[in-house]
Amino acid sequence: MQTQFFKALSKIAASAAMVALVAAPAQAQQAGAPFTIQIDGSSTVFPISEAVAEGFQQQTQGRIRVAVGESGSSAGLRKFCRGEIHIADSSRPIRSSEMATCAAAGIQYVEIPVAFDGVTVVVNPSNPLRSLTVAQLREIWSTGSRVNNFSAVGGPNLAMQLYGPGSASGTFEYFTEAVNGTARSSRTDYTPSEDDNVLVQGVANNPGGMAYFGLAYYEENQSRLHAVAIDNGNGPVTPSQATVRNGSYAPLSRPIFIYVNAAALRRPQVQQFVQYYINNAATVSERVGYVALPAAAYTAYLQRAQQRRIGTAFGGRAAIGASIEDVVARRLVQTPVND
Amino acid sequence: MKNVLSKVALAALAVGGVTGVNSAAHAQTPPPPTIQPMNGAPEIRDGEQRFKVRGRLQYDVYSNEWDAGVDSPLVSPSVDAEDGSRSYVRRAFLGVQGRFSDNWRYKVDFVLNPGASGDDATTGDAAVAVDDAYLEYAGDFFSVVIGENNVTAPLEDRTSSLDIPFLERSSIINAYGYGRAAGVAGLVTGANWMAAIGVYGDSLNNSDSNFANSEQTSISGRFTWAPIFETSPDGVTLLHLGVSARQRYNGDDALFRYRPRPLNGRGSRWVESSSGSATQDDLSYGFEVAGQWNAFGFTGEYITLEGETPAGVQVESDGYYVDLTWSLTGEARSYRGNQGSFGPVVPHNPVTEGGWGHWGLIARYDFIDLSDIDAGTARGEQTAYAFGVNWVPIDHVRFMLNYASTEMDRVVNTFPVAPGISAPDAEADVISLRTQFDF
Repeated sequence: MQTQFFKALSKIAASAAMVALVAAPAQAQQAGAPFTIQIDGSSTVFPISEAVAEGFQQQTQGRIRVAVGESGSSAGLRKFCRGEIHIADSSRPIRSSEMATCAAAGIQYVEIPVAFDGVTVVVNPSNPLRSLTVAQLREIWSTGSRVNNFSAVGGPNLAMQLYGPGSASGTFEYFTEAVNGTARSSRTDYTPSEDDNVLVQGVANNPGGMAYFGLAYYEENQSRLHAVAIDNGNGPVTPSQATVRNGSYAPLSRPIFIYVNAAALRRPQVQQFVQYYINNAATVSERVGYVALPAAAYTAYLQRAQQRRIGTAFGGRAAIGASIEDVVARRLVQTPVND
Repeated sequence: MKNVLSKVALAALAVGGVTGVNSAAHAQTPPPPTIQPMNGAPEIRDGEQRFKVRGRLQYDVYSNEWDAGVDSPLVSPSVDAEDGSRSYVRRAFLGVQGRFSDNWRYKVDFVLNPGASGDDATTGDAAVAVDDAYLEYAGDFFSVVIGENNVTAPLEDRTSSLDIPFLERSSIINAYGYGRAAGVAGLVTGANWMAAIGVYGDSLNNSDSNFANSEQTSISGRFTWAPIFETSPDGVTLLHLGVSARQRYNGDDALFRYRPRPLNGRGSRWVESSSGSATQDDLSYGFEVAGQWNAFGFTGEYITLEGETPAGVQVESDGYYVDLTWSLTGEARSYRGNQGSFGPVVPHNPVTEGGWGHWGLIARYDFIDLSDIDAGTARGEQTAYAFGVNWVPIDHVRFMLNYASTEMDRVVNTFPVAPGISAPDAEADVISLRTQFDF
């Protein structure tokens, strides 16, 4: 009996030792590497986060690393609410269902609007189409739409080749809600990609190409694309930093965000990065083609990050047609708002 | 908000007015059904409707070593015969879960017991049974559950068999008869708390005859609260507190018996209440405390039970367990604040991505006092020490190695093999290896 017992014990000991041997190198590796701040989410916010991360890593001389992904707002927030990343980039406010998922997983967040964007509808520069009404946009993009030629919306007799953000994209959600009236309700016979550069290529290389994405991607590719002016009943307005800033480019102007894990903000590295982000958000967002918020707003958001004030100012809902002043004036809530 | 809404409404009106009825109808056309990869098996989604096939298999190989104190065939022939190695299917479930709408949800797990017609017939495992089998109406902060469920049960019973750290649950959970029964339960939940109350009858697996049996009934409730619960990519800090209570009446059903196994899914129950003097009703209170600090976790539960035998004799029992868990690869157990229960340990670096998966070390102290449970000859105390190693190479696959040493001390000498021999105490050493996967 006893022999059997000790045999058993020795087996256990052997397997424990094996585990320790196996696990030790893995842990040592983790300890040796510099701390990495994980960011993922919106491809619209990506150019800002990427530029900020680059500047920050230079400033800290590689002591703190920042990894930025661009899997789309929804995919980013899904990872965020599973505790896999420190910061989620999002081109729309957090949804009520995501608020609940985050809460049940013990994840609290600090919401920082970083800039304003104008969702830009682009066509190939050879296309003479200059403007569209919101109604025409809806005709093109609504579920089941059979519009396949620009002639149907006052353009040339030219077959359309549509490109658009994938379903994990916040831009997709914003555009479908603002134009079609229901978030995520869209025709599906177009070429989707979460990578806006793929959409840029598609339109630049096809005379009949058409797509929509964040203003920065248009600004960066102005020579290869043509931005369509949007008529919301007050005449056609061309998307630009000026028309987004003054509120005339509606309803496709919108705030874009980062969501920071509140527990992670206790780490000096994350706190330092987020402060750097807010301090540089105005410059960087203007440089990549978005519109900075008023200076007072960034001061308020810096305090929000320092004090780790949790919650969202949007109550789990979209922010269609909100002006910059409107967004800045909102108060934080921690549970979804139904009205 | 109102301002925004009115703008949206105006925009919608303007758009509707220009485009006319046709495209408005288009906007109503729902998107086609999609298949989402999730939880080990794809889920079909069509609007609010969802459907997913689910299942699990747990296959155990174990080695049993019993020592009943005296080496005599008179002492415990049946127990001596248990020595040796065996393998069997501990659990094989196949089921479905889904939603008819966002609010109306369902889950049914069928329990299949391969080999049930042989050995297992004596343990009461039918060839086919149900585990969870319920309809749920879920709102944002409440839900109502109808059917076979255990939403009011204590922490360890609420934690799935896929996610409990050891192969078997503690003596108190097994001996006091927690688990699923058919009934109606209501839950109110917040981000880090939940309150549940339920009224239950028999398990759906218990088929009463038309004449002899009236339904067993119980009323039970549970409240949990996590005063500290913070998750970030770098770790988890959690303090979980919980209380539960249950009152049971057997009706005309079988009396309640209390009998743990020596931390094994099979094998004899050396310490137990006798079938002749078990209780017809009982009342139990449970207390839970659990914590997680990054890779380190602990769980402790204490349950006290009072019952009454048909002869009107009051009996009592209590017991507790303490678990310690340490993830060598750094993962924390996942916790669901709105359910007050633990989920799986998901590996940070699965082997499919060149990592080691999750490796965890676990230890348990487990005790139950059944010495006052009745006047039976097998009453006594059971103490178990268990250690284990868990390996999760990828999410949904787990290998578990457990060693459990159990001391079972009876109050009464049931085997008068020789004068002067005290109560026959037994000891069991069990080494088990489980292979499990789920989808």
